[in-house]
Amino acid sequence: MNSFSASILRVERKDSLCLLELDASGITLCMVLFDLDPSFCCNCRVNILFKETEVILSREPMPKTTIINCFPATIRTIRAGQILADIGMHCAAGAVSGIISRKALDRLQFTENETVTVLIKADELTLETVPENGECV
Amino acid sequence: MLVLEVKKTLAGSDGPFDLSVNLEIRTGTLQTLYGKSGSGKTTILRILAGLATPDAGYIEVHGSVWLDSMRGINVPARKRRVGFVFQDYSLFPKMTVRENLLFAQDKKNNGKIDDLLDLIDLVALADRYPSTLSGGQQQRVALARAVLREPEILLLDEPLSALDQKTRAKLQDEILRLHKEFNLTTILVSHDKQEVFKLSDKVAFLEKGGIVRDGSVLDVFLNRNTSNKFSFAGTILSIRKADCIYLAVIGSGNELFEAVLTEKDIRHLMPGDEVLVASKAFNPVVMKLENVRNS
Repeated sequence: MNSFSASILRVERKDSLCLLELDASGITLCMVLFDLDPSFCCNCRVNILFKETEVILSREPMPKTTIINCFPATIRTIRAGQILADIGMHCAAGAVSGIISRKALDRLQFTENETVTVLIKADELTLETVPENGECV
Repeated sequence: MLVLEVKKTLAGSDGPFDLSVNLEIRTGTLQTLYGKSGSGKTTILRILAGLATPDAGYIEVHGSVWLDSMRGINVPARKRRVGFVFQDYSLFPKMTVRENLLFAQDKKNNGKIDDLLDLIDLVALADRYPSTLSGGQQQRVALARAVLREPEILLLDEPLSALDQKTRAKLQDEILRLHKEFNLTTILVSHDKQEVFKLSDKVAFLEKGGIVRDGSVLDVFLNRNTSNKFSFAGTILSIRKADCIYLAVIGSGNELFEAVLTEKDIRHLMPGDEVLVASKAFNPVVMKLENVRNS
C-alpha cells in the first residue's frame, strides 16, 4: 500500500459527496469520497493511501487524460515478472510503487533513474487519520 | 442514555483485582465489552441485570436510577427491564418454543409472539421442544425471549461462542436485525474480533477490571480511522507468490476473500495476522442476482 503524509487544504461538498484537495509535500492531490468523517478536517494531518495496482504511469509530463492526479517520480527499481512488473519510484512525497503489466513495461521501455509521470484517479485515494499523536489541529 | 459507574473487588486467578468502570452508552447503541476472560465483562452485565451488587456504583437507564449506592437505591433484578442472553441458551426443556416465549411475557399476548416468531423465522418450530432444536435454533429462541420482554437494555454474554461459524454468522445478522428493529440499547460481551467488527457501534476494551480503550471499532483496534465505507476484520490464512505480486487468502467468519499484496506489504504481513480489509464505495461492482432462491 502506498502512503503519503499530507494535509487537507480544502473540502467541497455536494449532498453527501465531498471533493478534497490535499497537499503531500508540494504535490497537490484531489480525492472524492462520501460522508466525510469529522476527524478529517481542513489543516488536518492525514495519510493518503492508494494501492499499487491503481497506479498508472506515463512518459509524458502532463498527459491529456481524465485523471486529475498526476505528479513526477523517478524510477528506482524495476522488478519485471512474466505477466506483471513492480515499479519502485521516488517522488516529492516519498516512495511510491506501481504494479503495471509486463506488456506495458515492454512497450514503454521504462528504465531505472528515468523520470515518469504517476497518475492516480481521485476515487482511488483513501484517507487515514495519523495514528497515535496525530490529532487534528 | 445508559450511565454506568461501578466498583467491585473481584477474585481473579492471580488474586483479587478491582473492577472500576465508567461508561455512557447512547440509546440505540450496540456497545461491546471486549477483553480476555476474567477481565470483568460478565460481572458488568450481571451488575446491570441486578444479579450482582457492586461495592459502590451508580446506574441510570433512560433517566431512571437503578442503582445508587450513596442513596441506598438498588432496584431488584425482577423490576429491571433487561433481556439477558447467555452462551448456554437457558431454555426450559419441558416447554415448547411458544411456551418458553409465553412464559417470558408479563402480559400474555399470542399475537405478539406470532409476530416475533415470524420475524426471526421460527414459526415452523413453535411447537417443538428445545432438545429437538439445533444450537443455533435454541439461541434464536433465547434471543426472541429476551426481546419479547421489551427490555430497556439487551445483554448478550458471548451468546454465539458455542456455535459453528456458519450459524454464528446467521445469528449475528439476527442480532443486528432485532437490535435495529426494536431500537435496543445492546451490550455484547465477545472475545471474537471479527464479531466485534461486524456488530459493534462502540467498543470498550477491558483489562483487569478497567477500560483501557473506548470508542469506535477502528479507534479501539487500529488507533486510527479511515475514510473507507466498507471494512471488516479478518485473518490472513495464506500468502502465495504469483509472478511479481502476492495473493493473500483472508478468512472472516465463514467467508474467504483474496487480496493482492505487494513485496512491500509482505515485509510486515504474514499468515495468522489479523487485518482490516477495506474498500471505497466507488470500488465494488454491483450486479443483480437472478433466479436466486432465498434459503
